[in-house]
Amino acid sequence: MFTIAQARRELDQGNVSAVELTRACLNRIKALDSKINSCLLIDEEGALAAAENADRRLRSGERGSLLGIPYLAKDLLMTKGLRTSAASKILENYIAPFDASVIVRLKDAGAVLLGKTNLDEFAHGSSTENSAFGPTLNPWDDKRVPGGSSGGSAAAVAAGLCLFALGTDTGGSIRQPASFCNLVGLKPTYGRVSRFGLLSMTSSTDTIGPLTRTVEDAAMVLSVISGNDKYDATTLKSEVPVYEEKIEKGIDGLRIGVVPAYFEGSLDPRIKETMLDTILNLKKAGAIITEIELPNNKYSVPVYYVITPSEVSSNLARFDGIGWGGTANGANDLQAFYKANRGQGFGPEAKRRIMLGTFALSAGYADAYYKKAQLVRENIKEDFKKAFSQVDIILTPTSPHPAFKIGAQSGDPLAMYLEDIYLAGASLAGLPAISVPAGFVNEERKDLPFGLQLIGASEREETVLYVARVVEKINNYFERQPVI
Amino acid sequence: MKFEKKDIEHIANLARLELTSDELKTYGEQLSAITAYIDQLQNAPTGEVIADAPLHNIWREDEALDWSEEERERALSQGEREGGLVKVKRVL
Repeated sequence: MFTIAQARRELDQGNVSAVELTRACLNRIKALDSKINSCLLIDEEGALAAAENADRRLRSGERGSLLGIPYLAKDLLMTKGLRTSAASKILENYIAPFDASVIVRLKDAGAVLLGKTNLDEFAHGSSTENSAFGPTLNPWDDKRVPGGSSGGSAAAVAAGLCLFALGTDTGGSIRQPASFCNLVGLKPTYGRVSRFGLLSMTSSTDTIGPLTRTVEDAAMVLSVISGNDKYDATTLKSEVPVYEEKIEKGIDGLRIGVVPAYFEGSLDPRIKETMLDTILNLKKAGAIITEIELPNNKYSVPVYYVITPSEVSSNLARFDGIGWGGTANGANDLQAFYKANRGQGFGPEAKRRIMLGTFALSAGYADAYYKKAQLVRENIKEDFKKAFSQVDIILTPTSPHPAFKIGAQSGDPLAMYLEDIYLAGASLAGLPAISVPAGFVNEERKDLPFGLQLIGASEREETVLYVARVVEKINNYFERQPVI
Repeated sequence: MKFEKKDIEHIANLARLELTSDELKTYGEQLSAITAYIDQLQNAPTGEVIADAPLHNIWREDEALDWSEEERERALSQGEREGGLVKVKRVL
């Protein structure tokens, strides 16, 4: 399957049409998705109409980076006239009445929406096992998870069912599945991309970003979806660069920060070894490697699992079964009706988070949990601020291990929360971060990919992308694709 | 924090969630384990107040956009309705 940049050249030269590209994706979805369950909805008719329109625009001489490029969107983004389920039973039949701002931008740019991808219900999870519509399987090994919560988006891109997919990242939900599926996954700065039309999970850390095969492709998507939006007051006002024009830069003199503690403990020794090699390569390319400390980052997971459930319990309060959402029968009064709808409509992890958050915000406990977590969050932000006065970028593992087996962690919510150990910090501080393919380990005769993470200072997506491009060029791991 | 059955019942009531007796038990154990882990925050050195973030209000006009009848219908596609109103259960 083409990268976006390759498809762009073919489309512009007239060697292939948007309709042909779209049909090729639809055919692959039909042939392969039953093996991985990455899609929750396919809009064949809408996709072909959008592709025909893109071809008309191309024939009239119009050019644009994503004009005629087929993609999939995580089913947490509102798509007008199409079911938007959040992979939850409570929204099983919900048809979105409007498009999310990112969907509008992609539509205007001429990108072709093929359908919607699977996720952990309401994005609560790190494996896509929490979907009410069954887990997504990893195209590299169908006994394993693709990561999550944007696991459907990651598996679909890895399997070549689309040219890119949109994911959302609240505490690692783009970066971790990118690592498990040999993809580039970019979480932009908080506010870089409009959240309007995204079903809210943790409003203070939710971001939307691309999952792609290459760094260049991620840059191409980011340039289109970024920017101020009057419907999301938290969007940044600053100018959006054409990121893809700024990714080919040397790293001579670039200061890369490395946290020694991140390479001890639970990190898979094979991942550690490969990463140390990569760091050596970056040093040879002229980078200055600096050891840094992020002393409060050890608290990032406990902080995250106070703040996230708190905001979840508030954001999911709107699902009361009135107007939209489930409708339980038999309840006699309003209170019983709410309880029945919510009790039956939400899955186990959503209920767990709603209760944890309700507790953390409840009278008598809010100071000890919610307020304390916000205070520690300030220290985490301060750590990063100090670090970025010494270095230009921070390099860490994305995940301590390659993809784990389906069911291996589903009985232990705490183990699942620790999946975010290297990832939650950048989310709490609102910083841009990327996971880029960094190698493979062999597990039971299967090659399993893993990524490394680069965290940049606020609004420095450009730095994150060009350093990621340098890492990508060391081994070109993106050229390897799974056999399914 | 160790959660007894009555604590979970109380939280579930605040959260408007109907839970089975199995769920009450499981969530009691899981929330106890998760908060035991989160309790390490109590040892984290912090100040007393969150520094004033450089935040400010952003306003826009509250404009009504025209929605077609079909779009309005779709927005409330799952609700129970009667005579142009959304029907809810009795409150008292």
